[in-house]
Amino acid sequence: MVSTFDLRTLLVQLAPGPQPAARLARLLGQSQGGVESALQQLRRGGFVEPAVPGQGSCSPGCGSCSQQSFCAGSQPAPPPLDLWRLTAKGNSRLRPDASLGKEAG
Amino acid sequence: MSRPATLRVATAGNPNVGKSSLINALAGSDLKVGNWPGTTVSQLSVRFNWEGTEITWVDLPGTYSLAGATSEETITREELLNHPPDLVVNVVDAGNLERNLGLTLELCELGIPMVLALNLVDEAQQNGVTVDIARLSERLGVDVVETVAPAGRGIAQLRHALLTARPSKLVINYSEGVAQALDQLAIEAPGLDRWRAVTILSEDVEGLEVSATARSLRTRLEGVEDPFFAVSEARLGAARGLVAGVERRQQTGPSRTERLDRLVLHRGLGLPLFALGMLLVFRFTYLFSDPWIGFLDVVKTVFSGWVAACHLPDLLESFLIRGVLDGAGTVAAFSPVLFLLYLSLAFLEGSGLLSRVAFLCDQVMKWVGLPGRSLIPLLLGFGCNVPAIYSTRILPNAGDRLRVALAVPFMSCSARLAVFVLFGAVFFPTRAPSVVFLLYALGLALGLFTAWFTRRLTPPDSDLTGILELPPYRFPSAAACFRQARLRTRSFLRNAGGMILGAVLLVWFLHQVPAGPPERSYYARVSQALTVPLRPLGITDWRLAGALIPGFIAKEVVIGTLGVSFLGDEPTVPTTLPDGLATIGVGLKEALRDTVLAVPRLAGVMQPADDPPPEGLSAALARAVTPQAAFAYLVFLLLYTPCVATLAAIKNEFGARWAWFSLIWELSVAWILGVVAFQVWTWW
Repeated sequence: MVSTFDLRTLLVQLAPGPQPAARLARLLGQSQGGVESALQQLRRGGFVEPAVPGQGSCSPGCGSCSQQSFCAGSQPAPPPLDLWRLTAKGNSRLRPDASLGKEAG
Repeated sequence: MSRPATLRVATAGNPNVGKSSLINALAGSDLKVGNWPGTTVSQLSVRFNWEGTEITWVDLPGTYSLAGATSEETITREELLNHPPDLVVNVVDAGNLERNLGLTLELCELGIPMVLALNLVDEAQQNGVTVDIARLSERLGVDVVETVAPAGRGIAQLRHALLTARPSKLVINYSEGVAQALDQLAIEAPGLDRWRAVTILSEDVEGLEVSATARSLRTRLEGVEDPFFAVSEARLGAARGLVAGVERRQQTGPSRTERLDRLVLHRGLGLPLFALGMLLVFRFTYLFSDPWIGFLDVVKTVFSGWVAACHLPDLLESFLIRGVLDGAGTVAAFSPVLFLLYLSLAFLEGSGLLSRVAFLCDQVMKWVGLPGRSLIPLLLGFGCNVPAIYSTRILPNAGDRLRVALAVPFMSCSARLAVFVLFGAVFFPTRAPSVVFLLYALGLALGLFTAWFTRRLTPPDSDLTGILELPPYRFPSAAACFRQARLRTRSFLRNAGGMILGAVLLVWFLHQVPAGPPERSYYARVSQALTVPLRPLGITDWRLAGALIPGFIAKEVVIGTLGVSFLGDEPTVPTTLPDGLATIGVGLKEALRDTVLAVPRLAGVMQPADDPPPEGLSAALARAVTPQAAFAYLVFLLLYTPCVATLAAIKNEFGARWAWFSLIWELSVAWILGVVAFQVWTWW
């Protein structure tokens, strides 16, 4: 059961900009569930992150926003927008010299 | 089989798979249940007795893995590692097996006895997905039970499966390098479970002890391959292999979503239907909130009458009535409007209709040179402009981000709605919902114009590829919509309430300095100066002009300021306690009657009744300003400078230069359109 799932290919698809999981699945010819699972693995490794900030926590600058506590992590939030983007670590992973274990960031 | 006297069970699973619902069905408890990820954000537990066995059930937050650094992952990991339960019930969404199995495989490697609850099987079957549970059970080496938590299906079987829970015997085949390192680690640390061993070789996880041997093995492994990628890819492959062996997906006919989309997303009908829907939302918000705004005004008037009956010193009476009660009344008046607006938005969000709006407007966005998903920040801007500015980060192109951010402040945030409703009720009683709708549409149109107009000022090379994804239609539960509306309204009142009250008190104070009539105050003098540029809009009253100043800090404060300025020197009629209570009773009765009558009025079966002559602030406004000037004032209020928090957000994201641009641009557009609105209407 050794994988044929190539996580680096997924990172490459995210290089141009944020993408939703469903589109990545279509581009890679994978199931959406599989791609969502792969994105979660990459998120856990710090390579990708949800593209919409403030999902679960407010961004700086919301100091006087009257909806501030609604978007705080302590409250149930509405369904997140399913868009993903590369982090700095994810970008550095795409560099040709970053194929092995030591990652930047 | 003998039953244990006590059993400690933990549920683990991805977010939004129905863990809390399952526990409620099992234990008859009342844990908070939501239809979105993250309902359980901390660990909750329930205790119940099942045929002599005392069960403590821990509901862990939804998580996709055990090793990450989010609070949900940390709570789940610490609970399972530091206080291992007797068994884990892994709740899995039958319709999305492959995604859910990522966590399942980690739980299997942890070695804690486990039962897999294959939940939401009814939804999966409706979508043509069936899972061979016998084969899945065989492959995982644990019991698998099909469940539909809200219907109670599979609950009895799940209870019985708890007694036979056992650790999984599934073995994931890792790459050669990882497998060798695992073998060596097993010799060095024989008691280490497979999950810990794999994790310490492949990633850094807080709270996991890493021995010198493990560290050296990992360093050696990193010279050959990236252990994190190797382990992740092996697990993803294992999940895919499992799914391939147990899941069957059938092509079904056009789904309900597809049939509805043929109408909703129709090229010719889609946008008119959407406009009609939004008009309905505003009619609903206005018709149902109006009786309750009136009732709250009655309550405030009665309280003011009671204060007046106490014959307090003039300054103290003015402070209590025009400062405290007017401020509190302003805060309270927001609640019916916002609650109903949020209720409508919760329905639109939960049903999947809001996403269709973005799809429908995709073409419109391309006309102004923006990708379709730019509409998402604009829609968020109708709630609050600040998070909308930050959400422009979803756009890959820097130029697009900036142009959308410059367009966002034109979206009418919820704070402006209450002002529109008040003015609408006073000046356009029979057409108020249409006026509010027109103002919203004007804001959207000017936002798009701004994006188009600034395309030469900002970096080009926009990627116009449409990538919007549409979720399936769902009829959101009334309870979930009410809950969301309640939380948002409460959040608004908590956060903005104190600020509004404080601002109203400050404005009251400024009216008193120096002592004398309010029109001689410093505040009035500054406001009078402001009427000069506002004269072409028909605004000659310093009280209207002055309310725009605190409105720059936060738009929520405008009504409260108007109340203090207009009613500051009006005498309040004293009221006795019985008279006041009777007035409140009559007001409540009328509010209830008008709420019931709002149903046929919403459907257009019955015309709104002629409103009684306005009282209080409404009457004062009606005397001070013509409908033409009131409309021009609303246009100006909709479009003039963003609030301070929005400007700060633009500065943070794009720099001070663009914050200044936004300030000057909006002020100019607001003034020009305000003048046009007043002059055209007057000429007409």
